[in-house]
Amino acid sequence: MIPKIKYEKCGKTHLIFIETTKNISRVYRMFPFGSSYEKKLPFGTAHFLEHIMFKKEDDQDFLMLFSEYEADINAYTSFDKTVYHYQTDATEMKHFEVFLEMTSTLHVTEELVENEKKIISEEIEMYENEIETQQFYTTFSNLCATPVISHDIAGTVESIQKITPSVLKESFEEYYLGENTLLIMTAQENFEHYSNVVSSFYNLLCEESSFEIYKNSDMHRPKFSHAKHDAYSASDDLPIVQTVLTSSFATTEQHLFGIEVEFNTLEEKLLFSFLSSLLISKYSPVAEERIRKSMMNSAAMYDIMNVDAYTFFFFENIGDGEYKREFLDVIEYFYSKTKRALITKETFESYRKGYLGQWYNLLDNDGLLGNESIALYRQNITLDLIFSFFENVTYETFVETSYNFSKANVTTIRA
Amino acid sequence: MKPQMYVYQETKENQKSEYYILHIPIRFNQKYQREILRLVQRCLVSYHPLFTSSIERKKIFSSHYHLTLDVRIEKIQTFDFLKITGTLPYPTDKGRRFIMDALMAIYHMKKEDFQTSFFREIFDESRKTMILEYKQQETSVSSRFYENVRNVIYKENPKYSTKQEIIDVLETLSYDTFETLYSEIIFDTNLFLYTNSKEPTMISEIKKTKVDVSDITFFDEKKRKTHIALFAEKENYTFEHASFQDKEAIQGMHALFIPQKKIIEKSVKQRLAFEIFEQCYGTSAKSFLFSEVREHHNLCYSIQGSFLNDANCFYIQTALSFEHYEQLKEIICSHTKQSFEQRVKEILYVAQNERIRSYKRRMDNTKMYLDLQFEFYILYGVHFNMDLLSEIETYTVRDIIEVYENLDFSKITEMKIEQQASQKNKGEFHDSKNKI
Repeated sequence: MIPKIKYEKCGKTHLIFIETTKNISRVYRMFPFGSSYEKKLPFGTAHFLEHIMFKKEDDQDFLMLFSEYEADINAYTSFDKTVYHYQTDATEMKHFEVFLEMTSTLHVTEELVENEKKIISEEIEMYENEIETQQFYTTFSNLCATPVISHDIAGTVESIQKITPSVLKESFEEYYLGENTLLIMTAQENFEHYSNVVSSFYNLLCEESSFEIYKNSDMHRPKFSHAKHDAYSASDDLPIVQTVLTSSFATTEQHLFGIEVEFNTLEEKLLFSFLSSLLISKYSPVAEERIRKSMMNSAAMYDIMNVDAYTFFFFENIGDGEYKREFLDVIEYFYSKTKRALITKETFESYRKGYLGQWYNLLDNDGLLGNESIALYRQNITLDLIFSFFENVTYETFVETSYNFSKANVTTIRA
Repeated sequence: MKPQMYVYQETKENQKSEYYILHIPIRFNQKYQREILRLVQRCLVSYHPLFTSSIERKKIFSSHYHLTLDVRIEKIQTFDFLKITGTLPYPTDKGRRFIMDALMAIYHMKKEDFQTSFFREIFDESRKTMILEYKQQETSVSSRFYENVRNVIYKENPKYSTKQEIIDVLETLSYDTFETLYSEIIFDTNLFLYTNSKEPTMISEIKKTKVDVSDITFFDEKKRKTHIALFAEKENYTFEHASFQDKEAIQGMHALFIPQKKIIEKSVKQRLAFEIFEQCYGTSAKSFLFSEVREHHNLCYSIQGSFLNDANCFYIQTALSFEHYEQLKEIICSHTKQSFEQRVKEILYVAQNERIRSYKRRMDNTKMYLDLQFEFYILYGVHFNMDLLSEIETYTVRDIIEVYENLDFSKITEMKIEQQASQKNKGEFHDSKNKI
């Protein structure tokens, strides 16, 4: 396989190989280009580029081609990255070569762009139809001190009209041929073969290129450079911005709370994720309190979204009444060491084992392992680091660690 | 009558956790029983001592905090099951016995258990939470659309309840009514335990619970058919064209139903033929729907077609602009058998391989693999293995065209959201700030 274009320079690619015993092998390729990188671009460019990367010359399509190679390919764009991935039970390497070709070559014409605008417009309207999606984006955009995430990943029907072949070409060259791209493989064998294919492919693709290879847990990588943005610290006096979305179909109020946190150390970040998980679990003193106060007219869930150096904690609540007090109860555990000490050492130890078990279970699930490894890589975290940290972390560290909040927001859907 | 437990064990290499999945077949006789069981499930999972971090559990099972338990009401085609799953990463005999007790907790619940102060305390709060969850679903355009579609399809099913009916019942549900409805749910006495544990001690741990144990008999067709006759539900529904008003819908939603000319008896052969047809017609990237509707005409982002198992029809769903409804229907109805046959000739190999990979993915995951074994046993009385998987490669173009020919495109039924003067759900921004 010979790439059709030869570039002067390609940024460093990291290649991680994870051995597995499963029938299906998986390959992921990540580019650090998501919707939060579009400050000077039409909103939706990263997602649009992801669609166009599947196009081939002569009206051909990589989606179709892959199915002939006995592989299922797909892709997604998030706030901070674009990921292409495929899975196959075939042992020959043809699909891997084509995958490298597809993710390294942009084929774009005016006609392709105009046709794709129609499809993506339908996709955008599909999400606009759902008020919960708008609630999510509203909360996110209100949280960011400078709007890292100011808009929907797919952009708007209006913003994508400004996307042209040259916008896509420039973005491709900056981010797809830039630094810190990542290849992850979970496969039974063929480690040498995979690395040889990557090596020879890059030699043909770029005059100057480099890549680093890691196998299994041997992943002590150089630090990833984050796109930093300004934030203000308001941990002693955190304002909650309130936003209201209206739906004539709403029969009960729905609240989405979010807080944005910035971390000084990796340990802080890991413990914050742990505490968030504990607080929404059955081990949570908040849950026990809710039962005692008969406040069960609410449901709680959480999500941690890592975007560059920031973490966002979400808490969903339906029903009116005590909703705000309940949210404040939850985040008080992040603020106050005294409150956190109410979580007993026994509860901490129990949940620590369970939390560790969840991470170990990931090793059984190849489908999740690849995506989770990418998310961890973006944060300079390895699975080994997580294992060793939660094997050894003490109750005292758990209680004493404090967090730096930037902003808080609640977005309510009401009639 | 004493329950009988059938145990299926199969272990693979490099497994780090033990999984135990208990299926209890259930039969609902009247409306609202499914929701009543959901209410019990909710109470158990959230608050029952065996499922939570209660003091009781801590005392007895201090070394097993890391196990997870899950209870769900599931449907495999027309059969309802209570499915209880226990997962233990570092198993010991004590842990296995604990799992067995937990798996059997619902089955052994008696009327007296429901009358405890503990259960009464949580009953009312769980009821309120369920109401709120149902109400929350009403806010979503797609939820409202599919709820309307379901209401039209299943309106003749005496056990089907609309969301509004469920909300009304839950809001006024008395404890006595709850007890009556629950007591009339039929739990089968044949229980099915699927596990990847190969420990011989596991069987002796099960024997310490209140069930009789025998090895599972996969090919006891007589018994399986008796069970199916008892638990199967009605499968034929008549369809009506319907349109729904939704003033908040920015984009349209369209569901199309193509009935089968004759009902084909359910078998593994029929299932695999349907699945390959689905790949060719509506699932694969090379399928008719994806390539014609999305790639060629650019009408939508996503479109799927699959068989609706309990209604004997092929079902197409998509979200697309209101003005594209007619064009979509035109593309589907004007498609000829000859052109579809040509497409099948081109992509049959691809479709077969996609199905094989899909099954291999399920086989790679221990829990999904055990579910697959149970599904194939209960539906067809067969063991799922690689030989069965390789049968997929034997299907011919003729087999797939037979499935196509059995669909009656002249009797297509459509359900859709009507175009209204839609307004976008843009939020009003209130810059009021509340300090903590």
